[in-house]
Amino acid sequence: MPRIQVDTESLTAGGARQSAAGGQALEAAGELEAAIAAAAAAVGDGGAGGAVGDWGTSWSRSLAALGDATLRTGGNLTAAGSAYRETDDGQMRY
Amino acid sequence: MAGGESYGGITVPKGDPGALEAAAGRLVSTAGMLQSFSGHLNGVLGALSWFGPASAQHSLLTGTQSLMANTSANALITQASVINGYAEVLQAAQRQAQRAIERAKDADERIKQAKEDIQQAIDDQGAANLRIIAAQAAQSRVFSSAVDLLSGSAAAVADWAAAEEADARRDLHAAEERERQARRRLERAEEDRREAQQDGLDAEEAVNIARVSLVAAAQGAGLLPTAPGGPANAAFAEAAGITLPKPPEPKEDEGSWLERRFDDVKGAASWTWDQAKQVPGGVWEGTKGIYEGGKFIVELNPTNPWNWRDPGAMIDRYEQLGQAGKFAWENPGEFGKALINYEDLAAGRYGEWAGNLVPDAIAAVATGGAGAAVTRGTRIVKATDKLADASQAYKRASDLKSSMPTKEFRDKTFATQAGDRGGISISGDQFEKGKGYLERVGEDPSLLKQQPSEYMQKVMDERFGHEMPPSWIDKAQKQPAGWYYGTHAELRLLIDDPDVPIGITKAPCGPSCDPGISTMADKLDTDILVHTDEGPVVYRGKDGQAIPITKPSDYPGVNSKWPGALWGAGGGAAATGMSAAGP
Repeated sequence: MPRIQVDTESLTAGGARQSAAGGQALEAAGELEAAIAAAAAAVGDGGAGGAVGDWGTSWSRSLAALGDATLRTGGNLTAAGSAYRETDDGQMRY
Repeated sequence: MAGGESYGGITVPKGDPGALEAAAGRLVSTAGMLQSFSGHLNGVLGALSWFGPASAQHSLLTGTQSLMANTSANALITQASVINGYAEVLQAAQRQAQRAIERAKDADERIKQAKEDIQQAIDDQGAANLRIIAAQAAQSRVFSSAVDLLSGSAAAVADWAAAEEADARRDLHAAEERERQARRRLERAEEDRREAQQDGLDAEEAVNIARVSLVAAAQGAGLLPTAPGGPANAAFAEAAGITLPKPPEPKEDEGSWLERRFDDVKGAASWTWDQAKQVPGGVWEGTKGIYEGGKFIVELNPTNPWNWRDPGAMIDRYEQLGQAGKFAWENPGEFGKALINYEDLAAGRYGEWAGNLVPDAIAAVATGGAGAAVTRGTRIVKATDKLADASQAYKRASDLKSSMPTKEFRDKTFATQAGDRGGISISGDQFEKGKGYLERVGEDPSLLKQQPSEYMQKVMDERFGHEMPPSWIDKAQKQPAGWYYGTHAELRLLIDDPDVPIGITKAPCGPSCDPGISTMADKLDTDILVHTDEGPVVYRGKDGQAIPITKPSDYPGVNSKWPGALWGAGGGAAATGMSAAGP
């Protein structure tokens, strides 16, 4: 088993920052969808506008997935910090 | 402007350039958010004090997320430029169509007025003819009566009748002149109407092709599988008529250390691990696709705003690509396949696919989607651009020649470069008169090349060793030997810009211009492309030989060092087709 060294406080803080960043990506996904929807409506042609709109929707979903993944990775980081601390604090006590 | 207005078969293309530009701005802003996101993730990694197996996995996953966001930001900026470029195309086309409608309305009004004037002039001629006949009849009666002739009143009647006839003839001539002028006005108005119609059609075509490019960019990105062997976006795949292979079933996975250890912690670990395996790959591939698609569009030209610096040349390029654009518009499936180099994709050659996308995408457009598999490159597109320039230059020269107000100038040879700001040369040495005529037809007179014959003879001799031969016209015009050939149009353009294709209304003359251009190409080691009334001819740099171009693939491009094998039959045909040209 490789050596483990951890500062649980840095995990907790990092988890919060990573989750916040995930929220930022989700916000970007929403902004992207809105911008592309506006562009699609302004193209002036149903077919081309539809293609652009579909692209925007698809991309927005991918970005949202990235944001969600980041947010949850931050959650995992926080959870890891808690688990390390919980192990250290409680598992070997009588 | 929303567009949509229509008049006489001309329609202003629909769409809102302002909203498109605003949307592009929002995309750039979104890209900034993603860059900030990426920066924050890097900050998280830098601040962690954590070593161990889980740390390594977290670092890898977070680093990937950061990289994806950063690449996405770049892709969004590219996509914003695509949309912005389309907005500029749309705006220019809307303006052009709007102007075309105004011109068409004005031309229709002038046509109506001219037709009324012609009818009035014809009526006036009829009335004048009746007066002439009446006056002649009156004179005839007077002269046929010897008795009346001797009386004073008869003489007065005869004088009146003669004066009346003369007056009626003046009116007749005036009416005839009015009819001639009205017919000329009618002709000009009808020509303006045709041009306005064509401008409207060009604008519509430009927007149609730009829209095809927009769709192609979206399809090019959307057709990417989310992972090797994975599904493309269903809507795009359907639009392109492509059935991509079904993705393999995922193998059973015991999950990560995080998942096994903390699966009971809000379910976060399990979800994240799945996403790390699948979603990021999809986003990553999609991101690359967007980037390549955007790059393709920018390089393709139709949506590149810089191309609108010369709308005339761009419209010509659209004409060259018109069939391809029409094909792409009507056959998105085939176009999509050619666009994305489907063969590589279907065979799983993703690396080759990525490397070949851009040139093949361009070739797909240039060849109507059919030639990408054969050409695998941009050679023909580049050649087509040059040939399009030469063709446009020839059309410009011909139009200018026919628009000259006097027969003297309509009989001259015109040589021009393509584009509204391209150089103009008119055979002979009546530069001031030529400038005046150019101004009258709406051209900038400063574009006229004005090198005197003596200068041309000197330069051609000193730079290229080409001595202009004497002509009998030299003596007839009391000029020194060589003067006549020094006044020809085409060399005045070529000595300054030999690598810019030109159009000439008449093939270069056999005694001087044809060998002169040949020598110039040879000495400069530069291919010189000219388009005459006999079609395009290139004087190749390697030996100055004149080769007619019968199809774009014959011509690999100006200044290229193409292999001799590309030149097949037909060498020398141009030379035999040369005819004497002169002022």
